[in-house]
Amino acid sequence: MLKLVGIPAPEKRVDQYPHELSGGMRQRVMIAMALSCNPELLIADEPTTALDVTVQAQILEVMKELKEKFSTSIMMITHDLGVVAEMADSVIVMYAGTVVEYSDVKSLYKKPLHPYTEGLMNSLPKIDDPKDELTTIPGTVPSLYEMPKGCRFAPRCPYAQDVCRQETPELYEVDHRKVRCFLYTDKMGGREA
Amino acid sequence: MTESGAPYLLQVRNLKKHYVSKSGFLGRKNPVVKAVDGIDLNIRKGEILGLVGESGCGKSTLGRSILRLIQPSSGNIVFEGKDILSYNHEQMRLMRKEMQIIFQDSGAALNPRMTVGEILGAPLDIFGLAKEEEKERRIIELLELVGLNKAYVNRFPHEFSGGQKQRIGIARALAVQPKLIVCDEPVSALDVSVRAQILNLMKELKHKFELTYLFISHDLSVVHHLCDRIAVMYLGKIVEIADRDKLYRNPSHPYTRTLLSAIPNPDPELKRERIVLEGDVPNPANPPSGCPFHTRCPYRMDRCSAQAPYLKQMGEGHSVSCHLVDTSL
Repeated sequence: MLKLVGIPAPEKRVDQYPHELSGGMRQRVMIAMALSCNPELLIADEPTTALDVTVQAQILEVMKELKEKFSTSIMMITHDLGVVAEMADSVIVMYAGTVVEYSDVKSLYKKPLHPYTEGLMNSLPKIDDPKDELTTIPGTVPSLYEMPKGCRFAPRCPYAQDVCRQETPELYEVDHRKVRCFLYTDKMGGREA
Repeated sequence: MTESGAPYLLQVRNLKKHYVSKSGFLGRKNPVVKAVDGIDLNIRKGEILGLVGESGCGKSTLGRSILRLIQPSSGNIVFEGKDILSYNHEQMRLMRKEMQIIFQDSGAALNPRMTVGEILGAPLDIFGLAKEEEKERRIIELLELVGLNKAYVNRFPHEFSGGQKQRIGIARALAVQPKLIVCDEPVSALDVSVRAQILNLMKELKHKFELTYLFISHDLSVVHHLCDRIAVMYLGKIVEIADRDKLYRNPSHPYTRTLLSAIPNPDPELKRERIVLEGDVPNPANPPSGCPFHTRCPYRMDRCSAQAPYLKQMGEGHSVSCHLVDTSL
């Protein structure tokens, strides 16, 4: 297993304690542990968040390789939109405890449907398309004790109207994707994907 | 962009910070950790210099050494023509009015038992900048400057979100109207949407007060967004330094190329050739011989393990420390 996840000199490493390994090595060991029983689903909760970019690239490569080898399904939890673009086939975007968008990865990045997803994409600084000022999402995520009425994103949403503050939207199906937003219903003009 | 004719605000010459480990055993020689190993840097007035590298490469140590929050082992730090490394305690205390720092962990950087008003008032008291009503007025002004409601003045740090705490940290740094601010990973702990807000604020304040930033980060897209010039560090040394566009268009050190190719790109259709490095950053207590990067470098030659390269200019405002560059010239 250690060899599979790319640990050099596994015969030696196997007798070492975690504190003797680097962060990247420890994450490799974790992956090896998780895969040792041939699971069908691997839930990876921010597996590379604590790692440096070069080591992150290594770990993502290892995960991709092993996924092919063992045909494991992976649920990858992350806040990094770059990692998602690289790893995922389909994506769920969550906001304040609810799923706001569900889509295949290509359509999501080509045209985000939910205003929150759109805001997230816009607030990334892009190297190939530099801007003087980043577009931001105003305000902050609401506290779990004081959830706004209606759509949970409405207080920060540039498109919000009265209906958003009164009623809670469901997940509507739009063009084989799903989005929790009134913009795509008769209530607000029925925007197309 | 900065006009290249602006005078230097800060010049760092051959700065070193070596830590001697206390674990010397039975008369064996104590290992020396060269956290910062002979750094030369110039920052012009009004410029934002980005400092990037992986964790443990000495970025923060360098940033703090420049402010003498960590006492450097040797070298020169020249701020507005004065060598501040020779300053005594009192002289240095007064210098801190000119140079401030913003920390990564804004929660830990704010005293939990002080209200926001007290936190922002402290630097004003220390340097005797404002008293009583004048002080009150200045504190409110600072809060408004960083986009916080003035009604928050009597609240404690724990009542704020991460982004708001970072705004307080920025307001505190601005209180003494410094010329230079060392920003040590100021947005690394923040969510993308809040990160964008703070980056915009920092850019706005820089223009408003003609500030100069040394911006430390491991995030190359953030650095690209904010900085005029960028220095790349690896194991205590600068391996490449260049104007932003030159560095991103024509990265010349293999390490810089690797870093750039390792950024996950938020575009699923883009298939890039990625250079995946072998191994981890070497232990700084036991650095490799010759070029510190040769153990992981895809282009290593015999010469690299024997002889350490030094920073050479390869074009206007672009210097690289790599043997490959000499051979291709």
